[in-house]
Amino acid sequence: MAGIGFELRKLLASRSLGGAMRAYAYAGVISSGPWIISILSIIVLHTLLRPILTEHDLTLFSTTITHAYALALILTGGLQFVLTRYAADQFSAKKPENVLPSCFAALTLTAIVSAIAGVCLFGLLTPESLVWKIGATALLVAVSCIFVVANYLSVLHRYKRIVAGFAIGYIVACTAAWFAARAGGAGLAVSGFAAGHLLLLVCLLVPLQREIGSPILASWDFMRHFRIVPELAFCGLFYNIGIWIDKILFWWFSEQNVQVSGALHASLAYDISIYLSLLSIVPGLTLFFLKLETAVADGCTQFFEHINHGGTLAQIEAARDDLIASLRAGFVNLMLVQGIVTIALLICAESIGQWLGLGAIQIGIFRITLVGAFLLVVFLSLLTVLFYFDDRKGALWACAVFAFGNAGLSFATLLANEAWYGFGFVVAAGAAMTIAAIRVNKRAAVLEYHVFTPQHARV
Amino acid sequence: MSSAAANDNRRADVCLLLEGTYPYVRGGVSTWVHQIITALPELTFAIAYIGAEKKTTGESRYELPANVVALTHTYLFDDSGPRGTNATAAPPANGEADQRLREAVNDFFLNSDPEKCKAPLILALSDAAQQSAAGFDTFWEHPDTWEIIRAYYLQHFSAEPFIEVYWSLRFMIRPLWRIAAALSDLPPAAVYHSVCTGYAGLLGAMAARQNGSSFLLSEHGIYVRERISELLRADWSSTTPRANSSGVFSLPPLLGSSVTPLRQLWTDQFIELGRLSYDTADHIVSLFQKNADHQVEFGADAERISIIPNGVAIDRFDSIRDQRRAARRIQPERMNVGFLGRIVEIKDVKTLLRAAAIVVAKMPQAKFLVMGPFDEDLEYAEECRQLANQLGIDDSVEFSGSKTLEQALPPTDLMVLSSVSEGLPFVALEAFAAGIPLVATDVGSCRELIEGRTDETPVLGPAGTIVPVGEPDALADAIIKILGNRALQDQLGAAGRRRVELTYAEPEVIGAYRELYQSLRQKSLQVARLENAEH
Repeated sequence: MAGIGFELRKLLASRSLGGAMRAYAYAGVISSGPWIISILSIIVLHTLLRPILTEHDLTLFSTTITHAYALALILTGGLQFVLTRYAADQFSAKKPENVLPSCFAALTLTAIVSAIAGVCLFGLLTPESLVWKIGATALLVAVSCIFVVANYLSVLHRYKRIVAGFAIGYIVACTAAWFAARAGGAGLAVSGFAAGHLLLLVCLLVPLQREIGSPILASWDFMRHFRIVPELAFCGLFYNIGIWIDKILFWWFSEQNVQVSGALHASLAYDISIYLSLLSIVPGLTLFFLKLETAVADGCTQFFEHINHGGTLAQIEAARDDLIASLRAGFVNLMLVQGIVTIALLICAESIGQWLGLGAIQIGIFRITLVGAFLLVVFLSLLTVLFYFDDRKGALWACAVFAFGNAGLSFATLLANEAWYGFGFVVAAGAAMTIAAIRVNKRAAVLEYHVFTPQHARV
Repeated sequence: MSSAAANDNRRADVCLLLEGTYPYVRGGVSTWVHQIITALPELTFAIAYIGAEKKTTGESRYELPANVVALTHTYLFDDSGPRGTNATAAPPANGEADQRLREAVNDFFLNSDPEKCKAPLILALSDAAQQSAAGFDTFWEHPDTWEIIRAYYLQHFSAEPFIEVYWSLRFMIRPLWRIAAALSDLPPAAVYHSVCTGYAGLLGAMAARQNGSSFLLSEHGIYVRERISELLRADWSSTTPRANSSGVFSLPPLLGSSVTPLRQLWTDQFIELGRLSYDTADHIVSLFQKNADHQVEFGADAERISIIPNGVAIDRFDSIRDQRRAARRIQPERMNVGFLGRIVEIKDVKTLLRAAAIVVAKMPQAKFLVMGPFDEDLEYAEECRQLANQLGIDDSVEFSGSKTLEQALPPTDLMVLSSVSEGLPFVALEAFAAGIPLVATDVGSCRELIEGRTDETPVLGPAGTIVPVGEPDALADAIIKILGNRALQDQLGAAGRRRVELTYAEPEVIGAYRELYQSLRQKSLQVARLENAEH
């Protein structure tokens, strides 16, 4: 009998769509968690250590932590989303044994790169004590590794573990820093803080090992994902550069910049104002994250259920519309709550500033960057949705605009005068938010088309 | 014809287009192909093999004769091919060729009048695919294509699971791209000879038109009927569907069972592919009249059909016949029933085994020799062994694996063919040539073989018995009747031998094809000359 065998059954099997899509969507939200905590811890420690350390040591201590965190986020930024995607893909391909080896390989890479960066910045370019140099470098390495591990836990949806680990780690780190500061100034304080972070790292690694322990120690298999999803690498890099570039520019080029020690600079006027503003996003971000985990996740599950289990196009489209509706509700909620918070803070900015002992310029920057923070949290949420929809190009565009916009515009405001400080960040966040919003809308309208065109389904 | 094509050293007199058969799958078609190539050494042949997936294609089962100058491969459903890397970013809708492609797709899905036949649209779509630079994935993932599919779905399938319709359409359209790609790789030939309709027929039609050559279509079974019966057979049970004899098509339960519109979609596609071949073929060959009638039923022009049966080299069987006679003389009590063929579902070996149990109950000395390879469908072969065991006839049934004719025929007193589908089975001709009577199911040309054509002169009488498909009792009755009567066996066997000598002798078959190729080549040459004169 002539005729070829197209075994449709085989061809149709394993054509389930959308498996990896939502698993890595939280990367954006999760990575902002440690970053907010770091800001909070800087402010807390600043207050705690003020009576203990000298003015110089206190500034050095805060600046060291800021630099370690900024550098860690930028250094690991290119790796984070790629790793999360890799891990998510392994889970959806039912190969969880591949996950932990990739984590250890990535940690090795991260440790080496951040150690080199630490030795350069803290070791060679900053004339401080050896204890400080070692402490600062260790802190950078620990923080970088923590970001990598936290990302893996987020793929496992072990948010409680992350929160618990961070809580324990930070309490220990802050306590250690406090005692160390009393014993021997900024150098020991930084070392104590670093020691707390190493403990945190262990706290995060233990559950990971317990849950997805693998006979293989390390595997570089994840490196090929840089070729498969290169957009994610750039996305992470640009996003983290975007978050920090205005601050770095202000450290170096604003009129208020001070050389704290060697290569470490700070901008006293800008830093405290923008950190305060960034803390304001916590309510909105938390709210959106909860919405994402509940209603939106359900909507997404429904949508894919209909696609994969025999839904008609009408059912699929109805599920898509439900998903869009729940997303819209999430954004309305976010903007409402965050709007109230931001407006309240804007109204109270004067008194808050006075209470914290800020000057007129700082209060001005605080006001402007509060608006920027509002835009940022909306942008971040939209970015998360873009990851959800696997619109990597859209996410990349938004992040690139955020990074380059923030760099260019912040630099431009530096060339102007203090009245413009903070506008660079606001406009960049606004532009990135607009692009992300356009992409989300475009994508959502024909979400099923994007799901069915197989380059999205393929690993 | 382009000068490049004329200088191609793969240039052949005849290019055979083989879908899922020679040289990778054994069976009647492959036997016949090998026979034709070997028996016509004065002609050069090229072979274009069309398969499903590279990884499921095994080793070559035949040593290619020296007059085969080229062998090309096309895999319709391989996923491993190169894909457009930037499918979302590359809008292929610019350029005239892509525009034509878009229109062809639009026509194919949306503008085709249900009354009008779709065959030209398939051809137009394949043409457009060949001319467009866009790879299949780029084309398929384009938003415009999505809109067309969506509209088509809403028109015809709005109550069906979307994902199934979507993938079905994809698997329906994608082979057209593969065929279009295969066209450029095809050796130039004076005659393109497809041995079925379907995708091989599509390729043959396109190749003949492109090269100004002739297109010859031979069918052993009726491709369209086979596909339709497979679509229906998918209904059988909810057990795991299985590849049948030629590694062929087994449909997922979801397509076969309740989802009728999808089944209709596939049925239509195969009917239209068939029509396309019938419309474009310069000449059509059928093995026997009933198949020719089916071809007409599916749209072939009766004027262009001729009947050329299968044939065997009778001389080869003289010594086998003598050996068999001698063996039977020595063992007057011998009652061996032979089955010679692949142990696959389409041969329905299970019905034979059930009949065997009935026969053995009455004639304990009866032996059943099941001779044929197991490796085509290991699972089915194993089920057959288990069935024999359950029926308690282990001692009376011998699964002996592959046998040569010299090994298989002398020990056989009666040959049985229990297939659910056949064309013109070689095993019947071979049995007859060795003087063995045959009990066969009423499929393909079996009745014609056993009872003789209605216009047979002189009338030779029956060479065995015809029984209905899938009825162990009837099969057992027929076996018992013949097995218990040596004189009857000899009488039936003699009629069979005589019938093969008169109607199914190899030289006549080969001669018919030699003539056919000759006239088609001449026609191609005339076309070429005319074209040259015009230029």
